[in-house]
Amino acid sequence: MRLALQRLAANDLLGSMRKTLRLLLAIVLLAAADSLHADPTDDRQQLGDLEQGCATALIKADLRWLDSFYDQDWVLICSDGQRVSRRKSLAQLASGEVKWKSIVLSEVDIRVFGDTAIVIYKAVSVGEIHGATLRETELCTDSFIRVDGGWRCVHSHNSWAP
Amino acid sequence: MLLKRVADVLLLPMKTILSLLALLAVFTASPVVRGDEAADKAQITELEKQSAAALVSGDFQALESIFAEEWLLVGPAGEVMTRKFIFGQLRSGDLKFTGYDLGDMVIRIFGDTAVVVGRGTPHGEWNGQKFEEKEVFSDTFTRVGGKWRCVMSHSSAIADEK
Repeated sequence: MRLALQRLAANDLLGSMRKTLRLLLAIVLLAAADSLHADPTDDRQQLGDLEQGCATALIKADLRWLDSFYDQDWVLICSDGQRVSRRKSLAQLASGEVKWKSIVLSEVDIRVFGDTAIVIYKAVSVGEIHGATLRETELCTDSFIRVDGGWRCVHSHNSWAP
Repeated sequence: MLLKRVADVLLLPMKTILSLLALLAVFTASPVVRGDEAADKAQITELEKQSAAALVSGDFQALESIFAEEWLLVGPAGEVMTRKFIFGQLRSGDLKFTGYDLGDMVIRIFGDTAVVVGRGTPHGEWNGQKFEEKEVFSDTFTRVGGKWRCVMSHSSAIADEK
C-alpha cells in the first residue's frame, strides 16, 4: 500500500515536471519565433514613431526621452562634416545653447535588415543656436540597432538639402 | 544516452528534441554570441580599402559583394542615389574614379551592425566634370550569413583644413 502511494506521488511529480518543461519549451519557442520572424511592418511603424518622437523630444528638450533614443556611442555628423558626440549634443540642448522651435519630417524611408535599420528623411528645422535664428532643410540618415526588441539610434549623418 | 532519457521523460520523439535544440542554438547564438570585435574591425577596414580600389578599377564583382543590392548613397547635396544608378553611371563611364584616398576611419561594432566614419578624397570625372573633394563619410554595414555588407553610405564635403 505504502509503496503504491509512493509510486502515485512519484508519478504526480513526474507529470508536473513534464508539464512545466513543456511550458518552458513553448515559451522558448515562441520567443525564438518572435525573434527570428520580427514583423517588418511593425519595425517600420516603430521606427517611424521613434523618429517622430525624437523630433518632439528635441523641441521639448526632453533629455530623458532622448537618452533612451540615442545609444551611448551615438555620433552625429553634421552637414559641414563636423562630428558631434552624444554628450555634447545633449549638453547643448540642456544648457539652452541649442533650441528647436519646430522640426518637420517628410519623405521618410525606413529600411530594415534584420537587427539593423536605416531611416532616411528630410527635416525642415527652425530653432536658435547661441541666440541666432536657424532655419535649415537637411537630408538626414539614422542608423539603428535592435536592442531587447526595441530600436536604438547609433549614428546620424545630415546633409544640407535643396 | 541523455537525450533519449530527456525525450522519454517529456514523452516527445527524439526528432522533436533535436529540432528544439537546434532552434534553441540558433536563437541563443544570434543575439548573444558576437564575433571578435578586433577581427570585425579588421574585416571592415579591408572592405573599405577594397571598395575604394574597386571603384577606381571598376571591379564590379568586388563592388557587388561589398554593397548590398538595397545600398543607398546620400551625397553632400542631400541627393539619394541607388546602387543601380551608381553602378550604371560607372558602367557607362559617365562616372570615373581616378583615385580614392582613404584617411582616418573610426569603426564601431554593435553586434551585427557596424558604422564607419571616415575621411576620403575621391577624385575623378562625372559627366565630363572633374572632381576632387575631401569628404567625411558614414558607412553602415550589416552582417548577413557571417559576411559584412554595406547598406548605406552618406557623404559630406568638408572644407580644406588650415
